Amino acid sequence: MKRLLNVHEAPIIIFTIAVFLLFSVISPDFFQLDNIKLILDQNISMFIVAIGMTMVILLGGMDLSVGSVLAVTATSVGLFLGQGIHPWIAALMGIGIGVLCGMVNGYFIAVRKIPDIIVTLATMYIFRGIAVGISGGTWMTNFPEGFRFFGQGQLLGISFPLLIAVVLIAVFVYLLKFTRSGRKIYAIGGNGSAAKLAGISAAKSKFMVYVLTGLLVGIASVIFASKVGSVQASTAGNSLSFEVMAAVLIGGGSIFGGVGTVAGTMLGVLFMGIIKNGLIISKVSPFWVDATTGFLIILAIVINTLQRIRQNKGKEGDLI
Amino acid sequence: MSAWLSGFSLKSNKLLVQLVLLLFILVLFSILSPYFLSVANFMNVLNQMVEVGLIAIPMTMIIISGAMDLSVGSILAFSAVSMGVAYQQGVNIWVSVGIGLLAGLLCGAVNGYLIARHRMQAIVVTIGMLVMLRGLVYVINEGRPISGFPDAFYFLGQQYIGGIPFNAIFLVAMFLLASFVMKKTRFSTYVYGIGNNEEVVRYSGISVVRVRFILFMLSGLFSAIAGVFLVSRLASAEATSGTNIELDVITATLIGGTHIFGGRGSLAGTFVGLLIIVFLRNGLNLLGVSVLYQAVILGALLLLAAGNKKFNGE
Repeated sequence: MKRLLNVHEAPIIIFTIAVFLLFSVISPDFFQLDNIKLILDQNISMFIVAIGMTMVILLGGMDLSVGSVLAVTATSVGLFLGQGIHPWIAALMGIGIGVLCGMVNGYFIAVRKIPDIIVTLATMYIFRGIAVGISGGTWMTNFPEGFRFFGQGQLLGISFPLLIAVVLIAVFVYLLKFTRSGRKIYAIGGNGSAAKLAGISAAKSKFMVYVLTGLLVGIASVIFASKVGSVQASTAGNSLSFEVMAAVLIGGGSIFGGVGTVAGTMLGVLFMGIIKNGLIISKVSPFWVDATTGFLIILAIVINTLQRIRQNKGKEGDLI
Repeated sequence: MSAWLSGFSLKSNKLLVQLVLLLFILVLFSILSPYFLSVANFMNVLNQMVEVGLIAIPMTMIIISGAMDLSVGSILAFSAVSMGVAYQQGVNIWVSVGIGLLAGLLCGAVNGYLIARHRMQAIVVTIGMLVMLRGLVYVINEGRPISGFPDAFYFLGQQYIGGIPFNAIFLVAMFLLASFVMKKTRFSTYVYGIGNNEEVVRYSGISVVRVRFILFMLSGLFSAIAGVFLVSRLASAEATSGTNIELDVITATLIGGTHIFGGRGSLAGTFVGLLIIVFLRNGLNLLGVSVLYQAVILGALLLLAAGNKKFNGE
C-alpha cells in the first residue's frame, strides 16, 4: 500500500477516482458506458496537445500559443479542403503548418533567448490574428466526406482518433523514458547548469520540443476540425492552452521543470474532462465551467508547491 | 559618479530610440490618414489610453521586481461588473464604485497572498486568476451588460476640463505620483533590489513578502480603477471588458525599456511606450485595420521589444 502511495501519480489517481464517484452519486446519467466514451471522445485533441505541453513544462517553459496554433492549422486545413485538395494531403499540409508555427516559437525561444512566456504570449495573438485573417472571419464548414474519417472514422473496430492518440502517447512515453533526447529534456529541466556542463545543448532540445509541440497540435487540429465539422477561427481552441497547462500541472508536472510524466498528464486531462462533463451533466450553469478551470489551475499550483515543500524538507534549510 | 553618468547616457540613449519610434509613428499616420493629425483626435487618444496607462503603472513595478501579472484584464472586468451589479441592487453609485475598487483590491490580495506569502509562480497563479475571474464575471451577471448609470458618474470618463479629458489628467497625475515613489522612496529601492537579487534583499532584513504583496495589491487596485474609468467612458459594464488588455499593457511596459528579467526600467519609459501603443492603435483604427490584425502587429512589437538589445539597454 505504501509503495502504491509513493507512485508519482498517486494524488491525481485518487482525485480522479474521487470526482468520478462524486459525479456518479450526483447524477445517474454520469456512470454510463456511452458517457465515458463521450468524455474520451471529446478530449482527444486535448490528450494529444497535452503530450507536447508536458515536454514544454518539463523544460521549465510554458506554451500559451497552442490554442492559436490549433486555430491557424484547422483554418488552413479548411481552406485547403475548400480548394478541393485531397483530404489526406490537406491534413498533412495542415500538420506542416503546425510544425512551422512550432519553429517560429522555437526560433525566438531557443535561438533569440527571449523568455517562453513572452514569446508565446505574442505568438498567441499573432497566430490568432493570422487565423482570422485567412479565414476572412467566416465559419469553415462543408468538409468533404473523406475528411470525416480523421475525427469520426473507425479502424479495426476502434475509433480512428482514439487509435492515433494511443499510438502517440505510447511513442512519447517511450521517447521520454528510454531515449537519449528524452532524458536530455529531463536533465535540462531538472538542473540546467548541470546539463550544460554535461555537454547537453539546451537550445537544441528546446527548439526540438517546440517543433514537436507544433507537430502534435497540428495532428490535434486535424482531428478537431474533422470531429466538430466546422471551425471558427476566432474561437477555436480559445482556452485550450490554459486547460492543457492545468492538466499537466494537475498530473504531477512541476512548473519549475524536470518533474512530470506523460502518463500523469493524461490522467490530468481525464480529470479535467470528467469535471467538465460532470458539471454539465449535473445541470450546473455552463458559466461555472470556465470559473472551475481557473480554480483548478490555482489548485494545481497549490498542490505543486506543497509537493515541492514536502520533497525539499530535510534536504535544505528553510530559506525564510 | 562616472558609473552614474554612464548609466545616465545609456538611459537617455534608450529613451531617444523610443522617442524616435514614437515620432516615426506620428509622422507615418499623419501622412497615411487625413484625420490623424488633429486636436480632437489627439484628445480622443488621450481619453482612450487611460485604462491601459493606469494598469501599466503597477505592471512596470511588478516586472521590475521580476514577476508578471496576467490577470489584470479579468480583474478589470470583475470590478467593473461588481460595481454595476451593486448599483443595480440600488446601492449609491459612489458606494458602488467603492465596492468595485474593493473587489479589485481583494483579487490583488489573493494574487499577492499566493505569490508573495507562499512563493508560487506568479505566471501560473495569475493565469489561473485570469481564467477563473473571467468565468466568475459571467457567473455573476450571466453575460448581460449593465448600463443606466447616473450622469454624475459619467464625469469620470467623459468630462473635458479646459479641452483636456479629465481621466487623462488623472492618469498623468498618477504617473507623476508613481514616478516620484519609484525615484525617491525606500520602497522603490526594495522593488529594484528584489528584481536584481531577491536573496540579498531578504538577507538585508527587508520583508520581500510584504513588498511583493503590496505590488500585487496595487495591481489589483489600479486594474479596478481602470475598470471604473472604462465603465464611465463607455457607459456600460460588460463581461468582455478588458479582454486582451494585458497584451497592450505588457507591450507598453517592455517597449518602454523595462527589462523582462526585472531589475531595470522606469515609469517615464513606460509612459513613452504607452504613447507608442495608443497612437499606433489609433492610427490603425483610422486606417480601418481590424482589431485582430492590430493584435498581430502588437504581438510582433512585443517580440521586437523583448528581443531587441537597444530597448533593453544591454
